[in-house]
Parts: sequence; C-alpha cells; structure tokens
Amino acid sequence: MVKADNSDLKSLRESEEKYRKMIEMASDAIFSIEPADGTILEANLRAEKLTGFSVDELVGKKVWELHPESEWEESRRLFNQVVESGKGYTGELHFLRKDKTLLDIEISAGVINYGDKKIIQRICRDITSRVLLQRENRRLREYYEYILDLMPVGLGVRKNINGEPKVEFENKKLKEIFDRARDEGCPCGWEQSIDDQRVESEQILSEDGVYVEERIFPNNRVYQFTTGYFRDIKHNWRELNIVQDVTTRYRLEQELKKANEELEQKVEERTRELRQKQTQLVQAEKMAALGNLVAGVAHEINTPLGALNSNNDLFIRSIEKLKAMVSDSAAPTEFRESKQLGKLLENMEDLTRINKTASSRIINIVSSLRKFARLDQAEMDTVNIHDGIENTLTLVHHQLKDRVEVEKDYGDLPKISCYPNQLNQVFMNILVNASQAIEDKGKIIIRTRRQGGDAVIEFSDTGRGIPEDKLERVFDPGYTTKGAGVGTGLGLSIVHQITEDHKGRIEVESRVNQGTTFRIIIPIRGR
Amino acid sequence: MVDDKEKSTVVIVDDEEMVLTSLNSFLSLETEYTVETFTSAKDALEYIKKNEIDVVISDYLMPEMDGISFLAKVKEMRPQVPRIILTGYADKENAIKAINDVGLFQYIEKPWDNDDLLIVLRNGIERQKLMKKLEEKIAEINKAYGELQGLQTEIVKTFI
Repeated sequence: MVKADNSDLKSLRESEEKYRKMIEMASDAIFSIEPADGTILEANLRAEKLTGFSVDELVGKKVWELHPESEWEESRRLFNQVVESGKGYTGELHFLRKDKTLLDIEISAGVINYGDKKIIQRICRDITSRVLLQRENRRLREYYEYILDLMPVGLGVRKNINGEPKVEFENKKLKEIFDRARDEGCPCGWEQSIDDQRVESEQILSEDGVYVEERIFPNNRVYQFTTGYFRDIKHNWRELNIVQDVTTRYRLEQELKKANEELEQKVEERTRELRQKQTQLVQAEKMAALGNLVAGVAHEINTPLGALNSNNDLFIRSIEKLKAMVSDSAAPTEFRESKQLGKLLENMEDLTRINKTASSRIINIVSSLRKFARLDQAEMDTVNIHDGIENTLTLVHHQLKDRVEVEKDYGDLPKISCYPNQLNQVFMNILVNASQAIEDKGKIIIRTRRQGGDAVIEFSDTGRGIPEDKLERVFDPGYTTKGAGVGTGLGLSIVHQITEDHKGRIEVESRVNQGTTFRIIIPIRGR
Repeated sequence: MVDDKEKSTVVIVDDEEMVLTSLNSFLSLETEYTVETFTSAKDALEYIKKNEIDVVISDYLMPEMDGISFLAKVKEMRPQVPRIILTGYADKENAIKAINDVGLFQYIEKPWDNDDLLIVLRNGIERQKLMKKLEEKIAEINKAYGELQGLQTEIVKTFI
C-alpha cells in the first residue's frame, strides 16, 4: 500500500466505496480472483444469485470450480491466458450451481491493478434467455426446414449480393430436381441464372410480382417455376422459387389437347359428311317433288297441247285442200284469179307453219322435262349419255340462247349403266354454272370420249374462271361465289356426290378470265 | 285389200271436249269414217251395245271410269273390235301394263301425231274388217261343208 495524505485517502476510500456499491448493484456476477492460483477473493450479490452459493461459500473456491468439471480445464485455460497476456477475453461456459443445475453464462475477464497488486476480475452474465432464444431459433429453423424438405415441390431462396445471385436455401426436393436434371445431361441449378436455363417457357400468370412460368428444359422435362420477391428485415431483396416437375401433367395436357383436336377434327368431318348426306337427301327429295310436279304438269299440258297440235295440223291439211280446190279448173274463175284469196291462203300457210314449229318446240320441252325428271328411272339403267346431255341442253336453252354458243364434240360412247336422272342433274348443274360464268358472250364446248373402261365427259366454258385459291373449295357444300340469292352453293357438291356414287370422279381446271373445264369420268360398266 | 267403201264407225271417248272435237274434225277431213264421240264412258257403252262399231279410242284418265275398265267392258261386248288407248305421260306405265292385261291393239301418247293416229286407226279397222271377212268365210265354208255333207248323205241314200 502507498502512503497517502488524509484527503487522498479519503477520496480513495470514497471511490472504493462507490466502486464496491457499483459492484454490489451490478446485474452480472463479478468475481475478484487471485491471479496466482485462481482463488476467489471477493464476489458480489449477483454472484450469490447466479451460483446459488453465498459469498462466504464462494470466497476461497478456485474460480473454475464454479463450472462443471468438464469445463474446468477450459476455464483454467482462459484464466491463465488472461493472467499471462494481461488481456481481457470473453467466452461462454456454464455454472454448476449449488443445487447442481446448470446455468448458461457469458464470461468476460480482465486484469485490474488494485494498488500495486494485480487482481483478475471475472464478470459472468446470465445468458439463459439468449441461449434459449438461440436454441428455439435453431429448433424452429430445423422444424421449418424439415417441413420444407417434406414438401413435394422444390423450394429455394436466393439473395442478391452485388448483382450476383447467391443461394440462401434450397429444400431437399429442389436438390433432387437439380440432381436429376444433371443426371439426365441437362446442366441446371442455381449456379446459372434461371433465365439461362429456360429453353422454352410459357408465362401463364403474373400478378403482384408473382410469376408462374412453365419451362421446358433440354432433358425434355417441364418445370413450373413460381417466383416471388420479398424483403428481409434488413430490406434486402430475396427471390423465392417454387419449382415443380410438371412433366407428367404437361404431357397429359398435350395428349389431351391432341386428343381434343383429333376429336374436333372428327366431329368436323362427321358434320361435313352429315351435311353432305343431308344436302343429298334434301336434293333427292326436291328432285322427287320436282319430278312429280313435272310429270303432273306434263300430263296436264299434253292434252291441250295435243289438241292444239292436232288442230294446227288440221289447218295445214285444210289449207292444202282449199288451195287444191281453188286452183282446180272446176273452180269459179274469180276464185282462181283472186290475188286476195291467194295472199290470204299464203298467209294462213305461213302462220300454220310457224304454229307447227312453235308447238313442236313446246312438245320437245315437255318431253325433255319429263325425261329429265325421269321418275320411272330412279333406278340403274343403261342409257346413251348423249341423249341425257341433249335433253338437259333443251332445258337450259333459255339461259344460253344467242349469248352462249354450244359446241359439241361427241365421241363414240357406248351406253353407260348409271342413274340417268342423277347424271342429267350433273349436266344441268355444270351447264348452268358455265352459262353463269360467261358474263357477256361465250362458248361452251362439250366433249365426250371413251378412255379405257371409262366414259369422259368434258364441259369447257370461256367464262371468268375460278381463282386458284378457291378452286379446291368449289365442291364444298355451301360454298358459293355467286352471292346470296343466285346460287345455293350446293350445285357442285351434289355433282361431286353423284359422280362418287357412280364410282367416278370429277376434275376441275380453271384459269382466271380464260375459262373453266369440268371433267367427269365414270366407269361405263357402273358398279 | 279391204273394201273401204263400206263406212267404218269409230267411237272416241275422252272427258275433254277439245280432244274429241279435234279428232272428229281431223277424221272427217281425212277419212270417210263415221265418228261417234262421247265425254262419258257409260254413254259410249250404251251406244256400243246397240250399234256395230269398227274401232274404239279411249282416253286413259277419266273421272267416272278409267279407259282400261271401259275398254275391258268393250272387249266383253265386242271382242273383235280393236281397242286403242290415248295416254298422257304420267300414266304411261300403267297403260302399257294394261295393254297386256286387257289386250289392247295399240296405245297413242299425247300429244299425238295425226298421221300416226291415222295409220294406227287404219290398221285397226283393216284388221277388224279382215277378221270379219275371215269369220264370214269360215261361216261360208261351214255352210258349204254342211251342204256338202247333206248332199253326200242324199247320194249315199240314193245308192242304198
């Protein structure tokens, strides 16, 4: 001890008193220790609390004896370190309390010069709550990681450090997904940016910073990435990815889509077939009704027409007789020489001749009409195709007249076994189309020839033609270029159908502004 | 050749007056036939029952009695008389069938050709006349044969 004057001593005492009070009041256990052998010299109240021993019991113990025996060596080591280096240290150990319970403590130590004497001071802090918290945190983390590992989806979190994505967490499933991809020769994982791994992706949802994407990787697997961003406590961005192998679902979907498409196609096909059949049925029905009507009308017309025709013939014969009578030498001279009578007779002759032509034309039309309708020939028959074409030409005559010249180049065709009324309809539809295609004046050329076992019937017109892009659709039911009211769009589809029914085929060639050729090829022997 | 001097009687039945008039006018212009026309098949049958006729023409479709039934009745009354039917188009099939069933001489389609009609008519009448002649000849032969047999009997008797 150094000698000091009273006032110095007094102030020293005061400061020592203050220091002691502070030590007594401290919330940590504070020990003063003999550096030579580690004997506790002093301890505060808090030390009593933390160790369970009284100050009296504490004083005289070696400081490491406060720890469980397993920590004595570590405690001694720490103590010696301070003694030797004179520097403070911190560490975490336990107190073995008087009641044999353990207490987590944090130790800090240092050297204090007590007068000229060196004293080691050890401050021990109860860190039970901190340790508990840490332990609880660890437990919670393990718990959540366990749950996340159990999840059937891959889950990973990355943080962004200086623009470099760094993996913070990945669950078991995500590791599996990446491992599997690697095994299958597709290098992928967190090392690369996810964007780089994308081969083909389809963003299917995006709302409020959450993106769902399906990505097809080179190993032909499809992964669904759900990516979201959030900030941690320190306001750093984190990227959360949920990765799911949706290959099976994706394939099923693709298959379903394909099956669906096929189904749709089938439905469309069936619908078209049905429509075609329906068209045919309606047309057949129409034809039957028309046939009945025509037959009835023809019958009704024939009686008065017969009378007219017969009467006209009668007039011709009568005029003949009258002329003979007038020119007979026995007739009165005024009759024989009357110019007026001669002129009158000549007029009558002319008129009756015209009447004869007119009535034979009507007879011809009615005859063509009923032959065209041919109710009696709804069945297969062996007929001369040229007769059918001629009959049809008579019926469409009004559409052609002086406007369209018809050139015929008939080859040597044998009789053909067919449905005559149906073939007539084919000719009719094509001829009407041809005449409508010719805007002003033009020509229709009808050629027939034998080609092996087939009969070839060709209708060429000099009309406006059909553009190439529309050519393949001309046989579709309902397709028309004529505008509402002119055509039903059924004509050529019926032609096509009838030709097919005859086990034949129809070809079309066309050049815009030059004309169109329809070629019907049907077997002579029929089916 | 058949003797044409003898006037032939033609019966025509059609419910349409215009057809009857037309045919009647034509036949009276071109032939010497006696033409009897009826719009009713029943009236025609009445006439045929009472009078000798040489040929009959009937329309097929008629309101009261159709041509086929009518001609069938004519056949019963006078089997020798040729029967001709005049048909429109719609009933052609049935008419042709009837030709076989009832045994018609010919059918003519409306609208008819006067020359064709005349030929058919002439052929019919000629046949009818020939048949009549044939019958007469047969009757004559029969009669002669009967006389011959009588004579033979007389001769035999004289010898016995």
